[in-house]
Amino acid sequence: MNARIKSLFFCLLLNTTVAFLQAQDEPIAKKKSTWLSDFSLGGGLQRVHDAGMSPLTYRSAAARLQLGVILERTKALEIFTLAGDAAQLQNSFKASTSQVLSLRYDMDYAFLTKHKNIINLPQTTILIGGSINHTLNVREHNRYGNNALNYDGLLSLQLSAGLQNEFQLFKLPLQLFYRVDLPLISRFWRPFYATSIPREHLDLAEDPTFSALWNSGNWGLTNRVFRIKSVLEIQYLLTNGNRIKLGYTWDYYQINDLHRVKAGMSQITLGLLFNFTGNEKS
Amino acid sequence: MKKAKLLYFFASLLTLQSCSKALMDEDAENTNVQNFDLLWENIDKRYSFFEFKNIDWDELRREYRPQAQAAQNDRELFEVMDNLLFKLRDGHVNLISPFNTSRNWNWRLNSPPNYNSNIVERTYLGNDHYITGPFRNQRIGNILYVNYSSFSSGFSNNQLNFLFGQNQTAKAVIIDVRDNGGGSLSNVTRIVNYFAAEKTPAGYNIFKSGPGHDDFTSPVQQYAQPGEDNTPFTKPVVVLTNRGCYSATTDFVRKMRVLPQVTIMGDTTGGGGGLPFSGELPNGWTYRFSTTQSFDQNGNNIEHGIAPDTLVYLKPEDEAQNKDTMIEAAIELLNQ
Repeated sequence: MNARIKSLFFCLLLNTTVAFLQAQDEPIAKKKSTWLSDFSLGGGLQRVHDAGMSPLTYRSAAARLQLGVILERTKALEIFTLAGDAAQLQNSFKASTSQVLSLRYDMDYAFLTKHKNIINLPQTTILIGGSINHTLNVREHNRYGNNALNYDGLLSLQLSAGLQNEFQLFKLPLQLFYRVDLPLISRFWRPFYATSIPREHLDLAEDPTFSALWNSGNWGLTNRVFRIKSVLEIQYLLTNGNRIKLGYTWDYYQINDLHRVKAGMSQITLGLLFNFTGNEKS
Repeated sequence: MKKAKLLYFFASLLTLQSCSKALMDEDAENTNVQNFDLLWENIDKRYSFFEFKNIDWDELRREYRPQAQAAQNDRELFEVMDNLLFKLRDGHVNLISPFNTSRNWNWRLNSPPNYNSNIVERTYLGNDHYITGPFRNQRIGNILYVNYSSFSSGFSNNQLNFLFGQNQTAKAVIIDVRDNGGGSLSNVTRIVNYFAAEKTPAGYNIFKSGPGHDDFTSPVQQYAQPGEDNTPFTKPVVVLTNRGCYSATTDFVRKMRVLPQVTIMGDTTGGGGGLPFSGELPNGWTYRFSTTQSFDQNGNNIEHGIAPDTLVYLKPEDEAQNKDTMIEAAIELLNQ
């Protein structure tokens, strides 16, 4: 990184931090709807067992960057999240020089309705709704040739549920947020039987078209594409509506295709939620 | 009490969430038998030439599995697996360990070499030849001689344009791909683009589509077709071949030979019509093998090579006079 980029980066970081803390002095009234932006960084563990690539499980620490937008209303919660993970995975065989570069992206939109009377717990709101998720996990094996690239692509319609609970700890206003997603139906993409090239593009005549890529996928219900993704967060609520959050994401999926793939990930993230709602009062 | 219940609920969730490891498959065991079985099974399900080469893979398992089981060390195990893979008679089949790489190079070693790089360098290229990226080239009268030793070596469009583009004044071209063991198929396409005046069918490929030995996709047509931003070189071309032309080089010959201005001269290519696929064993060794089959425009499988239009071997008496019989024959043909 050259010096100019470094200076720019630190200026931006300083500006952001000052803005985040300054706003603390200006408490705002409770709004009908609140817009929050999410910027989180974190790390964790990734495991992959891809029968199409290797009989060995690959694992390693992974880094995560997560961006998002949250719209919180009286009766509903909408969350859009875009997350990227990167890891250099290794197998457990000590003498092996095999490494797998794993790049993963996860885009998610959830619409959750709020229900306060379902369970009898104080300050607790149950969230029920659905979400759409698109995940692409690309892996490159350093010792393979034509089939070095392996991938799983998922586009899922999911059932989502969760809860919010506001509480105080050492007089700090905190909110516990939990959400779990289960795909009901998915379109999934995996490498063709013995090549990385999508089936509809084996002729390599032209760049793959969208329809060719779409047709290379298959439909799967829960028995074929099984996934549990859950997010647990503790958010510290600042008086200006900004929040600091500590999150834990656990994401496991398996695609029971001809060559089964299982991928698990645990991530801890630290994030800032900026309140950028307008000044209109309720 | 209610708070305690809530805490209990979240503690349970956290516990459940830590079970990624339990849900993952265990690594395959690193034993002789397990390594042998995984190698045998993966090849059984994906190798593309069992029927074409009439190989009884089950019988080979019966023969070699007990030997693998009895192997006393890695070297002995490697030898057993090497012997098993050797029976596939395929240059695209290798077992790669830290101490050795198995191979079957009989497709090349059981034939005359038909190439003497010293003669090419000293008699035809000379001291003043051009080195245009990976292409060593020299004018022999009005004929451009181009020697390309590996399709793994990349090049720029400017370099191709320099050799075969609009400003090329040579009346003909000799492309010498002898002993070129293959490489990238995209390099094949980029060169063929410079010689195809129109989209011309050049055969087809079939890909393994399932575990059965005859599970293949329907034919995927292959073409020699013009590039988007170059004027094709349509003057006469001779491509020189020998048994050392393997894999991508055989694909190059397959596509060039359908073009009207091209003559293939020399010996039958080494073949290698299957696209190699890699795998890994629990002991960390990797291996590769063919998973496709390629055919020429007449439906002939090119796994064992493509015969030339004009068969020419290097003559020992020419070699003794530092002459390359094939280049001489090519010059004679192009000067007619």
